[in-house]
Amino acid sequence: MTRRHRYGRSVVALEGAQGLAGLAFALGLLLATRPAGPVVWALAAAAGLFLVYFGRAVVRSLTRIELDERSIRAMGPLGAVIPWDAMRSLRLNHYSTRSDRSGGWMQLEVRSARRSIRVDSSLDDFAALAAAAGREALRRGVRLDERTRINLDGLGILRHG
Amino acid sequence: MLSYTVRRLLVMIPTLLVISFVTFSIIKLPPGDFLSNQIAELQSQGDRAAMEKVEFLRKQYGLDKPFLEQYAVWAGLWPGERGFSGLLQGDWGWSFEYDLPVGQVVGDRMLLSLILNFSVVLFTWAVAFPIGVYAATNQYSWGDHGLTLLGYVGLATPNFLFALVLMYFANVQFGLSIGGIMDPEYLGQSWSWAKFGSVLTHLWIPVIVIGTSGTAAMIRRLRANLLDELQKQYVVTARARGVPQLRLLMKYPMRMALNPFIADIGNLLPSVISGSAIVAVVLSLQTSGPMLLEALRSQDQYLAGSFLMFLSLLTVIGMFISDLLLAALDPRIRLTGGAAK
Repeated sequence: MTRRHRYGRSVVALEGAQGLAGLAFALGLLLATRPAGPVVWALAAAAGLFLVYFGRAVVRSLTRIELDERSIRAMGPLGAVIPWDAMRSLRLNHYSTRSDRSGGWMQLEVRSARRSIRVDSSLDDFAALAAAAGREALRRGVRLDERTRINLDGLGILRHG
Repeated sequence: MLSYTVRRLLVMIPTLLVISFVTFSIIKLPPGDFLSNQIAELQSQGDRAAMEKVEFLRKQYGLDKPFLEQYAVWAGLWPGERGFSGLLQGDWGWSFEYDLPVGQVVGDRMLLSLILNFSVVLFTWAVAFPIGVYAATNQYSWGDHGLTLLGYVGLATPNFLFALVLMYFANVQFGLSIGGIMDPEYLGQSWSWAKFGSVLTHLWIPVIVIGTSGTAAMIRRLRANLLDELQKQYVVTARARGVPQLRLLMKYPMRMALNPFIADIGNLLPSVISGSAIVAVVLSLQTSGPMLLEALRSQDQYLAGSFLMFLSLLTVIGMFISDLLLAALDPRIRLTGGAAK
């Protein structure tokens, strides 16, 4: 059975708007106020970052992640297909910005020898996707690093198979 | 991480705008300004030439313009008499008290403050880390008790008092004057190896004076955090499985114990510039702290405003760095009673 996941429209729209707002502000200051050297570099770097972010939001809006018994696929402009048999590593990280480690977001990265697919927890039904990918990795004996094992355990995948 | 970085940057922009506005408002809050006081003084003396210069400065820096326009010109968001010439363009304004551009007045002081306070941070971390780890891993030993006592003494002693005591004993017992951050002959001179050497030989006294209380506080916090972590289930399990002590300590407990320190980077960066102002006054250090205090006292608005804005910028950048480091430090889910948060 094929599972399909997409980034939520509201999430992608917000990311796109944030990217555009940041880009407009940075370029506006850069062009209108003729700032000093270090400020120019800082604003140019920020503008570049906002542009990449906006581009990523566009790519995300056009991308869907599919997985079935044979492979995981990112269908879209920067698509990739990784058959489970070719999977070399799987990483599941949890990033939190609070000192008590609560809240935050997760990121899943599946790698083959040549390609990688990286998704984060703003994807619809991310936990189910991570669980499915984790189970495929365990079934095929892919070596998992310690924090990925802890995080899979946190999602209940190691304990319940 | 990209999303988080961008979101944090987007929050930084309005934050800095609000901070700059509040800073400028505070600087302008007291009635009058430095030039008003100067004009009153010059009028009483009838000095026409000086009054013309004051009027010129008032016009050049837009002090006769509406408040919002003054703010926008100061920040570099709006053109003034000389086009765009504000903080964004690297023009920190004019120090009325010193009668020089702010950049020139600040001169070496910012660098000296940076050297001094960065040395204090290094001293604090270099001393506190081994002691904190030792105290936590040897809880209730004689060493732990002794270091705890020292820690409390360090915490309870105000830095300026420590400085005064040290100055008194150095003078009375050894006939040494330990004030200043370099030998007087190097003051105002350009940087050379001899000047740098002089700074280094004078540096250790303020570093110890300023660093002691911070070191003591850090030892207490590190010990407490590490003790909390060492009692957790995963550490007990790893110990039972025979993981070597040092590896076990460094792998996760140490990282978790570091969280509060990383969260503190936001406060650390501005203190590298403005910290220890009172000690700097007591020890006659030529750093930026005393200058900031003096600028605030004398309403030297551009000098004080630029200082405050720079400190705020460092705080915001420090918070940004600490948030990114906190996220990257330990990418594990925190388990509470076996459930993922």
